Amino acid sequence: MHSNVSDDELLQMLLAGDESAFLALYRRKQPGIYRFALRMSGSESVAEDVTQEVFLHLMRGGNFDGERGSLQSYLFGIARNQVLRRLERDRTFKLVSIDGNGRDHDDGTDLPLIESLIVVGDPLGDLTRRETIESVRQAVLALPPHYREVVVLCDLHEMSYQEAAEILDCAIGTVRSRLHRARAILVERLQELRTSPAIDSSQTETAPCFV
Amino acid sequence: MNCQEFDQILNELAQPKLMDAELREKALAHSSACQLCAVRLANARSLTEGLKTLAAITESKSAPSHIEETLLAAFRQQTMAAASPKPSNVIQFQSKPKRMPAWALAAAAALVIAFGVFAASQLRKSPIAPATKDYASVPSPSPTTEIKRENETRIELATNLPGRNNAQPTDFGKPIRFQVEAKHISDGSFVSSSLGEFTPLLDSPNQGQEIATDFMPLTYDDSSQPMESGQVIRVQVPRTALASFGLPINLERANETVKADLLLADDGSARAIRFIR
Repeated sequence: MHSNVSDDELLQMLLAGDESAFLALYRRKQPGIYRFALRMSGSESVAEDVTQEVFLHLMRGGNFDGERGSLQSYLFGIARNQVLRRLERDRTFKLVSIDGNGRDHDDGTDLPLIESLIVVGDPLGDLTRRETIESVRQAVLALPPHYREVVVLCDLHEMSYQEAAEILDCAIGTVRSRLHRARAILVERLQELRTSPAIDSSQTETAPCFV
Repeated sequence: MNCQEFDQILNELAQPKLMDAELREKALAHSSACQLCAVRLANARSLTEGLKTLAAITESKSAPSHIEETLLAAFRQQTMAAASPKPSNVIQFQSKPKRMPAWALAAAAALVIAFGVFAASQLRKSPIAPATKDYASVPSPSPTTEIKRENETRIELATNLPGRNNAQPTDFGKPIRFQVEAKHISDGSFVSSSLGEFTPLLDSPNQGQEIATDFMPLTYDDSSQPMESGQVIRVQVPRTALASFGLPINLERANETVKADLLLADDGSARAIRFIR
């Protein structure tokens, strides 16, 4: 129904009390916001909370200014602030395991994350692939947040430097240099993990927040 | 191209993105001649693959449906609150341009009503009727309102009730009077309060000479945002509430109510309370 309506128009309709506009905008934007929060935090419960907060903020009016950037960047910016606040609050954030259990251990409603990657008939290959993915995931989550967010935005969300800079409210050069450094750290970390005997995700903590 | 120049374009080279073709050729030529840079390029490409795979795992993820339901309910509530007319017994004073959200007003009104109902039920149960006190009856369902300025810092709004000056003692079960009052407080914002018609309000003989405790915080949550503005709402609470704040109470009057001012933040949450005598 609202497929041809722009984000800005939907926002105006939403603020005027149009429920269908709210739903359309939510369904259009929530997957990206949710995945960003999930990839930044490694926790589905945090991702859910952040998604909820972002859209509550939006429906209460927010302070979106179309001249300063797109609605997408604005929403990601709120999500980013929410995630960083969470990370700051929960400095000893535990990572969730993705060994067939992608959700936090405490609620039991598991959602396997890497099922889709398992190739039947090559168990050794599957194991290697799983370990590799888990290593990459741990390495990303162990990055300091200002490096992690550029990796999440540019590499995982495949955003341009320009889009990432808009969200992070910094210069494109800053995004580029942070990404360069982040990727160098990731390579180092992955090499360390390859040479280390075992991965125990429960022992890993996300890096403390920088803000 | 040297190793340093190669390092500067390593990420672009490792990713399937558009880049200057000539630069790319030079970089690849350098990596074929420099073993160290070849390893770095291989590592960077391996990392890109790992990140792509990691992205693919979560690509289909989205927020569960209960989030949408929760948000939709909040949206409907907000829309309804915004659409409903403000009750005539609530007067909003704002010295700042920022307005209190409608849903916060609704929450505050609900709070006042809850306290009022509770206070009324407490007084109905009371065996001691302070018949000598002055109660005004409410003969008219839609009393008019007038504003009476007492001085520069205090404004009192009271319902203009017929017979108010000759108020007769009223039975406890009957609706009493309705009072809305507003005070100007030191920071420039107004303090408003309202009491429903179901709230029996004793006319103090020395009204205007109220004694108040300091505001006592109701929340100790560090995450509470500092208040930029808010409202103080006059309510009546059971006298036993005094004990919750370590204040002495007269047990013989425990079933009576006491006036209190609730400090509400813009989001409708109660932040502090002070008791009035």
